Amino acid sequence: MTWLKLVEGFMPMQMLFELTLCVGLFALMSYLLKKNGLAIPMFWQGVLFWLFIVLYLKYRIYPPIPFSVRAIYGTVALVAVFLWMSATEADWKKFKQPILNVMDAVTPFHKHLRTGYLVGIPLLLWGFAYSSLVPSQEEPIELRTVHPAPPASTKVHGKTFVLQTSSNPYRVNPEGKYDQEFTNSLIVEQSMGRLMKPTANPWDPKAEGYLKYVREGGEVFFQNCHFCHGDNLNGRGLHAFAFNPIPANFTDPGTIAQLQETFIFWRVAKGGIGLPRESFPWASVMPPWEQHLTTDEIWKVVLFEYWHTGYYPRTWD
Amino acid sequence: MMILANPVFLIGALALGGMAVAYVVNPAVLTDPRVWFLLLGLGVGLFVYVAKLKTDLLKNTPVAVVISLLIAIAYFHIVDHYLMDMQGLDYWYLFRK
Amino acid sequence: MGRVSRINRKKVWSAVALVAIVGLLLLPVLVSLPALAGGGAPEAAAPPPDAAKPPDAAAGKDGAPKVEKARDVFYKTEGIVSGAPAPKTADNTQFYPRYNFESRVLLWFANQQHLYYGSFVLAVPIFCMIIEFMGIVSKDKAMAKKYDQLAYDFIKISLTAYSLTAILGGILIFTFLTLYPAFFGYLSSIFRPVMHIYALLFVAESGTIYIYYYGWDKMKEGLLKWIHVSMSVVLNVIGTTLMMLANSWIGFMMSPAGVDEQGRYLGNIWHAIHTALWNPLNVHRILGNMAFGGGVVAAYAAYRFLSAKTEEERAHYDWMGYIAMAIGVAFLIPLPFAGYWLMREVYAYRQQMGITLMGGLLAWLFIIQATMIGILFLSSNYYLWQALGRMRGAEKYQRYIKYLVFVLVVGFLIFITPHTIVMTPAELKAMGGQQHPVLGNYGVMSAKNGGINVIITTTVLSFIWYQRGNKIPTVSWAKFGNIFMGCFFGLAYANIVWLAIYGYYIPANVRVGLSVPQVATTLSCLFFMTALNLVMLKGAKESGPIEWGKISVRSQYALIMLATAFTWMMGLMGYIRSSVRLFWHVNEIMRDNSPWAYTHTTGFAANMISFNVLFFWVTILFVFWLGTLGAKKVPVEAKVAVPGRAPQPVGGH
Repeated sequence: MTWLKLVEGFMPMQMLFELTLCVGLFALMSYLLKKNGLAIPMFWQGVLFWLFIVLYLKYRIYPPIPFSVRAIYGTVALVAVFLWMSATEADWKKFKQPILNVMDAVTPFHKHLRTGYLVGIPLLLWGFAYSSLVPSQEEPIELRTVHPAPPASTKVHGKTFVLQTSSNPYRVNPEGKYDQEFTNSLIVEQSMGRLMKPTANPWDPKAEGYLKYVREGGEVFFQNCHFCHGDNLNGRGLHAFAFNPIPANFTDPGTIAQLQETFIFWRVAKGGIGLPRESFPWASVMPPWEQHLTTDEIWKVVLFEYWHTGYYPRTWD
Repeated sequence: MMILANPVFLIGALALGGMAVAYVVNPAVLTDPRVWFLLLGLGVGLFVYVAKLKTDLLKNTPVAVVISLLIAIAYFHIVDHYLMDMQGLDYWYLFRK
Repeated sequence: MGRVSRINRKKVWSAVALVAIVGLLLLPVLVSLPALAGGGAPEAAAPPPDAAKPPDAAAGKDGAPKVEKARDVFYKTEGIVSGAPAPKTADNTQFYPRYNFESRVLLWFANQQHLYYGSFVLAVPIFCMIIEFMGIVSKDKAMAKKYDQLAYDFIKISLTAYSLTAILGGILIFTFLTLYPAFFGYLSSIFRPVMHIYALLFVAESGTIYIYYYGWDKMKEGLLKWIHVSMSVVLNVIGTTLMMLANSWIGFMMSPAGVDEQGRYLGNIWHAIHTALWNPLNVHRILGNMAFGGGVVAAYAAYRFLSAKTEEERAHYDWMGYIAMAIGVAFLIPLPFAGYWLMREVYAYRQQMGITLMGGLLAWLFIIQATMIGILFLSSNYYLWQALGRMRGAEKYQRYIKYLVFVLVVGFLIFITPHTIVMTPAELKAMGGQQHPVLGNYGVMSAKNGGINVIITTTVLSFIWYQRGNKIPTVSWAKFGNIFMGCFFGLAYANIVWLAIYGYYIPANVRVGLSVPQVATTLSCLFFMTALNLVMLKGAKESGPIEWGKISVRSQYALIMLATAFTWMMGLMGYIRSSVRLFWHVNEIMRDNSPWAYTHTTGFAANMISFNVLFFWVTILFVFWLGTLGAKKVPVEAKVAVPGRAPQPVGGH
């Protein structure tokens, strides 16, 4: 559904709001219909509501939700419909009635329906069995651990960095002290199309300190990283789609925004080859950048990535 | 229309309205927990006044809503503020920026 | 006059006797305490002669034994080395004797079964204590008798389970000794005094529980009854201490302290017990045991309800299931908060451990766990809604259940949205990244905290509806009270959702703090609103009695579901907690070099947990059946006390 846009930045809440609105509307509709003597039978209320949820998840949300999640949601929605239908004894009776009618074949119509089900349900099961057994060319699903637990420390260019205590030496305030508060105030606006703050332009020739390091990190990024990670840092570089899986998307709230700066440092330095055992099947072609960049360059490029995406590195206190 | 003339309702509604205006115009005022204690006190005070002296207002829906909102809103703000404060964090982080 | 004083004298003597018995039971522990100080930590109290020499003097003379000092891995204090380093094992039958089978799975099974029974027999006496006390303070004579009978029934069930626990404990120790001798040897070298106290406490526990059970009828009047109920307190204190001691071992395995980097014991047993994760584990386990015990007893009642032949039986087991469920859920509600505390401590102890748990290798198990928690809350809500059906006048609330369903399910869906989504590579490309731009936001902590708090608040709301089901408040401020309640709940939801959204706009270090006011909001609803509700319902008009036994059978299946979910979740959480050590026996101190040091696949673990759950339920059914064998001789006085119109239990109903 493209004509009714989900607004970037408000999407998760928008989805909840839409669903709540729909439920309210349905309740109103049901009430009005009932008042005019056109009440929808309990059974069909349940079926229709469930279908609505399933279709909403399939066609309303873009990009498409993977099947596994839709299956979870659909199942839970089914449970919800059951809870609703069976909450009171009266409703439960009303809900069961059409089913019992068919099973007891109370009218000739119901009898035919029952015969239909008797044929239809085994056919349906046969269909499921067939489609699950037929060979497919789809790649198998992998449960890949994208962000494995990092080691306690990592050795880069002969120097050992303890991940829990190290910090980016370039994340500094004008006095040259490590200062997240200060640097966070200079990153791009996340919700406004990543606009730079007017007072914080790293490409201003007069830029000093943190902003200058961001610029230097940017130079490193565009000489080395953007071919895969993309010039908007969204994992869609020139070569990105030659890889499977595609490179990490830094604008995604689940990547660098979730991680500590030292974690990124470790991953950049060691690349795909340095992934721990946990990351089976190590599906990453990222080079170990310590072989190409200096420690300082790695820290700077990490600085740039956070600056450009408008995220803060994760901290633990 | 009758209810608008009621001083209890008026005071409560003004306090709520003032708070809403402050959120839009200058949230900095609201970051001071004393404001919320003031509102909580006002809510409780109005309730005590109604319960002791104006018992007929206990059955008045608008008055009850206004007083309840005052107490509950102020209470949850105090909870948010102090429980963040106890951890050495600033609940009003975004509002101060 | 003379007779009264004789009775009084009797009472005094029985009190003295009780004190003497308790004193004798605890004597072994008291005796072992100096031994603990002296033998367990020689340098602390009475240093042996060679250690008494000042270190420099010892160093000066050749050949004199040197006092070696080392630094505690966790407390960073200096201590005198007084134990051997942790053994460095190798994959051979000397360190890991084995059958032609995976030793770890055998140990897993033995451990899990012991734990299920252990938690059950620890939880049930706590119930007994509460219910017996409720019986004593109950003013209604018939009700008091009913409570007393219920407590007695409980302890009877737990007595059989108690001997099974001991047997399973023996099996567990033998499994350890035969399959993991090196590791168990190391662990017992450090916890030597603790293990002895543990064994002695077990003796004390057995003594107390037998007196408690067999003395029930002898001690049912007056002061003796109070002594009897205080004996249950003693029983529970011992039981809880036992559990805490056992927790210290797993705490040590996860977050060792009291040893140096090589695993050498440094003489301070308190450091080894009081590790970083000990207290969070204690709290989490006590609450978990209670919820689990409630679930098991509720399932027992449901089973008896479904198989009941008469109205009276149905009424009795309906009531029993309700009480057990109420106790279980009362402890279920704080459980997620205890869990968050444990998680926070894990992160504080080792960040990697936290990431392995929540974001890495074990993340999928946490999705399953979230699903189970959701099922627990859904089932208990469902039970409460069904219970509205046995009251006349509850229709006014039943109409709105569907909206509660919606709120609950939305909270549930957010709570279980996976952070790492299972998808085919084609789906991954269509989505353009590991995270979905809409659903990805539900997969993080901020949203999940919001989800679970919404669920709990809704459960509180369901409970309040249930409390008011057949009552109409008559206090003069009833209308105001209702409106206030409505506003308070509405704003509580608003605050929870707001804090969840707010979390996305502030840095992570501020964000993690937001869960505290969120929890406080939920707890405010729980405490203030239930209290307010109770006050409002004082002298309320009843629109109809509670018709015990008239509840739908679906509610009983919900109880069974609840119990199964508890058992399954306990198995799962135990597995998660244990496997987070990865390839360590003792984290960062003693490496697991057996062939089974890898982490099982999620599927295998789930099957194993299911097997454990199944095995537990089959055996506990046997225990229940034993219980019914004895029950047939009991006079039917309990039945008399269960009329259609049962008085209200004390703590609200």
